[in-house]
Amino acid sequence: MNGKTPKKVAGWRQVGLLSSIPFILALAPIIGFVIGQLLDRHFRTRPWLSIILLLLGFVAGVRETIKIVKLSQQED
Amino acid sequence: MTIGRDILDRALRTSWVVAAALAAALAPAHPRDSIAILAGQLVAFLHFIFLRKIVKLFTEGRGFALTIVAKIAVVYGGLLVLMAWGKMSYAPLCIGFALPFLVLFLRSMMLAFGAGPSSLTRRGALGLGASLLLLVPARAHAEGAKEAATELPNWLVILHDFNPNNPAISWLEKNQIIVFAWVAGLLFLFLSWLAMRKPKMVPGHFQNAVEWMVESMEDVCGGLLGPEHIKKHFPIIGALFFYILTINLLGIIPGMKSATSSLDLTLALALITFLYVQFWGIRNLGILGYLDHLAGSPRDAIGWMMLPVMLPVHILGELAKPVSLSCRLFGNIFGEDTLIVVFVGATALCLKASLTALAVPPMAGITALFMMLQTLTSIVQALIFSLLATVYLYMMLPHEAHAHEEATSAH
Repeated sequence: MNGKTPKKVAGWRQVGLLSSIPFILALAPIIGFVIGQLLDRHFRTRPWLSIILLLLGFVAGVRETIKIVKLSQQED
Repeated sequence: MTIGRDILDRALRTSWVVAAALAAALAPAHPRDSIAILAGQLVAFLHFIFLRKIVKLFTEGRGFALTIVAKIAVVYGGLLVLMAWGKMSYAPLCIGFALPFLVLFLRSMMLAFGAGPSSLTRRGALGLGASLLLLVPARAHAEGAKEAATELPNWLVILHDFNPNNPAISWLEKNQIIVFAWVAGLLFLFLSWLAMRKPKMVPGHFQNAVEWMVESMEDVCGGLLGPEHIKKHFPIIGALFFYILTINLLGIIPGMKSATSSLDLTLALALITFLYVQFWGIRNLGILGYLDHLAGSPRDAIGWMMLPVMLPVHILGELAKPVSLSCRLFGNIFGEDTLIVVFVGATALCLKASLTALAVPPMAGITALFMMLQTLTSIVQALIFSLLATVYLYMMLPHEAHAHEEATSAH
């Protein structure tokens, strides 16, 4: 990161970043499923888009988690 | 055993204990709900077991694809079957599914605050046990009442109780989140104006305090974004921090309400952050560069073949970040409000039963303690919201180290 981050602030950033992992892991598939439901209703493709976007949401959650862990390990 | 694995194991064990206790408490009156909680817990448990196996196999390289297929079939297939069956209501199923995530979240928070993993079991079990003990009588009480109270009455609710037929008061009471959000906004503007209306070279106490807060926040965010970006972006980040702080602290004043205890407002704040970050992404990268970033920067045939997968994955990832911000802020503030209501209710029940000795020193003491804790968490939650907004902005801004990281991951 740029400049010099005070140690306490770096700690809070870690708290913020790491505690958002469970939210992102749980929410990304839910968002995918909800968008899939809306698209399924619109295109009459029930339940395929919901299932596909649920799986992609899971992938997105894992991908964001890896990005967050990498970011939290960066030196200040 | 590594700390991460140890924490996951302990979190899963604790979540099973909590799920079993919840199911046992609900079983006599609602047997289907208790089964749904256990089913949700089982699916989430399998999700974590498969996830751990996948991470392990990813490094070893054997049986990776087979485990993913098995996970999709067992976890998502199981979830779909449970939902399609139609005999279980979604709410207890979701509660059961969310339990391991909740326990894991609490454990990571406690670890970040410096508690070692061995002490986490005791603290976690104590905290969750206490919550369960409170939940069961609270639920029994809520079933008896027409409508369960989740927060203390504010002045709009009281005003509405005295004037139930006044249309203006009814409208204000119905839209109380907007009213209190406006009250907090106006209070924030008034305090800023009061502090800086006659700035002096040798500041008074109030001006000094406000300047110290603003400068500290600018230093904190400047440490993340860098001096050239912070000048441009501090107005929105600082405004988010001080606005959320004012809203959160407003809830401590008797008769007022924290508007952040509603998901509507926290989602609106997260939407502002999301649009701001995306706007700067488009402005810095250009429309084509932004679309390229969203598509995962495909440079070869495999990259282009993966485009239909990577584009929705990127979009869902970008959407999950602000929603997680808003859910966390809402959950914390709503949880605090509910906890205080439970203890105030318990104090009132003890007074009603002439148990003054039990009501006043312990119950009122615990309520006061929670209100002090609320002050601390109000500041922490405002800080975390604005710090994460800064981090998301940082991820979107052009940056040497970030560009290097992107280039490395692309290869």
